[in-house]
Amino acid sequence: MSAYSLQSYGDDALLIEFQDDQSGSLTGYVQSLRACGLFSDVIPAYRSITVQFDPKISRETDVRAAITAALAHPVNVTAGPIIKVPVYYSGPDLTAAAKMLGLSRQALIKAHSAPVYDVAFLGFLPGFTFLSGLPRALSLPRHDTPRIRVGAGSVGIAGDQTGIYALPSPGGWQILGRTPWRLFRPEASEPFRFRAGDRLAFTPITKSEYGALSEHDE
Amino acid sequence: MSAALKIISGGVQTTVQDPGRAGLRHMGVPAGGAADPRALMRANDCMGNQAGAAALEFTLTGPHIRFSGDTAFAVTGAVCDIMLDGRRVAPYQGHVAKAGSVLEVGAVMHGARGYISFDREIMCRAFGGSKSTHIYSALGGHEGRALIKGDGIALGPRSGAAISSAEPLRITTPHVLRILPGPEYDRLTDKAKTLLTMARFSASPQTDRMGARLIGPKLGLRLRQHMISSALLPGTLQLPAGGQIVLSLVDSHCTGGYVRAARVITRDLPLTGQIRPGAPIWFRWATEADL
Repeated sequence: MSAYSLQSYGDDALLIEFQDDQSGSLTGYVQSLRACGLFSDVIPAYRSITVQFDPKISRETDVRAAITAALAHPVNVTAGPIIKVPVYYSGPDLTAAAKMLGLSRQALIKAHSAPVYDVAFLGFLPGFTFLSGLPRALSLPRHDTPRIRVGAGSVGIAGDQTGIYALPSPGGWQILGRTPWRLFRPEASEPFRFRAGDRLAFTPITKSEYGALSEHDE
Repeated sequence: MSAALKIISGGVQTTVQDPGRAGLRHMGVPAGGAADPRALMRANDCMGNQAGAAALEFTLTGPHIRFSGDTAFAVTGAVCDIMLDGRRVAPYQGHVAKAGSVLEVGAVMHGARGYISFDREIMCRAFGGSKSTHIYSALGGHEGRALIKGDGIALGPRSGAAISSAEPLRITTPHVLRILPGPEYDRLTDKAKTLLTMARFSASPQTDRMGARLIGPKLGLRLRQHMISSALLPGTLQLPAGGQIVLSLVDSHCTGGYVRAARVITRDLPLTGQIRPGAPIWFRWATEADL
């Protein structure tokens, strides 16, 4: 088990922070924490898990003990198949991003679509997919001034993270391309396309393939 | 028989809200729900509704509504004038509006948000077991947005429950919010730690259900350490590099990247729903007895 710290985050939550980069391997801990049945929410992030409990029902000392026990025995998670996510690499920042990295557009597309990424967590807004596994050489700064609107399905880089916007929203990430898939479909019985622990890889597609596959309204 | 509400004017921001959708933060979906759940509960009490029933939440200025069928209603929360067909009616009290009657909820004089409950179910779409509107992701409520002039909201049949009254909530100002240190509290300078509970803050006009940017002294950070995205919960006093506190509220993002300096205790979270722009706010450390 990796080293972690445990601290209070208000009177109804505890933050578990892991010392080293846990990229992709928090799922086993998340599942064993859920199995405790004490928590209304178990919220993973890149290097942390936050658990929320009802202070009217559970005392913090008992919750801490339950967390220690759960983390000692993470659930053994078998990795699922690699999901191939189509991306039309023609984002508004693609050219400028390639220039910043000293790469051709084609080389950037190739480098970004080469790795297998882990879905580290969903956050920000419903379905926003944070991935881990971005090659260090592709790190890019956020925009100083966020764009007013980034389209749903936009694939971008911010710092050393890459991810996918599930909904249109303001955003400061460098946008390289767009997937034709809708990642959040509130009307569907399975509203979320991905969940933490999934593995995925990007497959570059052409404009006409994007058009044929597009699930977006715009 | 079913009925409908015809929206004559929506006020500043009127949305459908119930107690919210807990347990989906790991999918990026905030619990949301009524910003002042105490006031929602009392509105439902007046109608004999279940505590989980949806009501209309209005902000700073209430809506004007025409009823298409006889409907009982009650208004709770923020202090404002309530007129039924031009006659003033009392808050925290059930009233029956006849078909064709017009309810006018005026400008809020004290607090920020009020609730209008009905003895009929508000028919609208739900997500994650809740009808609460989350504007930023267009979830729940009437088309996932605030109500505007011309909207028609379908209502179910009358419940037949006896209407009654509820004890009015006292909304006290200045707001005194009890806090506990947040995970990154130690990153604040000694001066910032002192100012946190010694200085007067107020909510800026940039205040909505997602968060309130606070006006007050700049709070410095001791360590300019890189923050990596992590969970963000409502009631968090976030501290961006600029030094102005952003208080996360009921619809806040589920993850964030700012220093979490402190967090409002759960008992005081409902008070944050009544913070209006300009309202003075003081923070004080919670003691064992407060929890």
